[in-house]
Amino acid sequence: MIQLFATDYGCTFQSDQDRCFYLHFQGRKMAMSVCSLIAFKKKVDSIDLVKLLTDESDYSDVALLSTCQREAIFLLSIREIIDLKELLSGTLVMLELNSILHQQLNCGIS
Amino acid sequence: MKDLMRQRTSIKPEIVDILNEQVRIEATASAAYLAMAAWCDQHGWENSADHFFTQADEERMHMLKLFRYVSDMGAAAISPQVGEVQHDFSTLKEVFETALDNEIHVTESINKIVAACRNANDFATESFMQWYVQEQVEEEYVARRAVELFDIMGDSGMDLILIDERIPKIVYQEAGAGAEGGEEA
Repeated sequence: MIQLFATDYGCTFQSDQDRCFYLHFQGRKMAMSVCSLIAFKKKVDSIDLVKLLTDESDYSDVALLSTCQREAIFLLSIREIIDLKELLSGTLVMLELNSILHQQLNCGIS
Repeated sequence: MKDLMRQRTSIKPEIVDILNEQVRIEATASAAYLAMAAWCDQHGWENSADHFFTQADEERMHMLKLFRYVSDMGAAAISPQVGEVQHDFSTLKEVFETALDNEIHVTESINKIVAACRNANDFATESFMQWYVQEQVEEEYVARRAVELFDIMGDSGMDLILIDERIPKIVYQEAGAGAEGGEEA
């Protein structure tokens, strides 16, 4: 497995053999397809941090989040949400970079 | 390291996002036309109502075509949430003016997608979107001609009856189609 990105709280890997990605977070390891990873990133990105920070209710500093096929549910603190946003953004950037490298190698670097 | 991203989907996430947004815009346009059709029906403008029912069907077809494309490319197509649309209008002219504004909004949105495709070197999606570019030429033409009828004929009682009768006759004839021997229906 190849590590794609790591943050303080978690990391992501790609497995060419299993043809999927692995997300390590909160001590759990979850396999994700490309679609699941992108869909999960969308969910995480849609969490409104400003709203959470300014909300004065008892449940204001946590968010409940499920993965694409509801295989796992996360209860995230604000620090974990920030970390997860960074982790998934970094992962997508690395995958994009990998695509660019493949494209250049396939077409021949000019 | 394999390029799993490219193997799974042939369009980039940022293009998927704007295509899904266009799906939402088309769905909203379809709902807006339905509301216009209902208003026209309620006020006795039968031809205008039929026109908007047809437009609502067309917009839904546009939405489905995009939806299928996103899905066929291996990306996640998102069934859109349609927000509130305008149901109340003060005049028939306002209905057609709103329809023209909606079409202009759709055209601008499609142009942005084409520009984004060029920026991302996504030539397949750009080619796919060319159909929408052409379609919008027709949609805007029909909407604009309808609004122009009010300028030409006025908007008093009898004028409105004549306008309602002329609405089904507005047909876009593509430039050069006549020169190729085609006949207007």
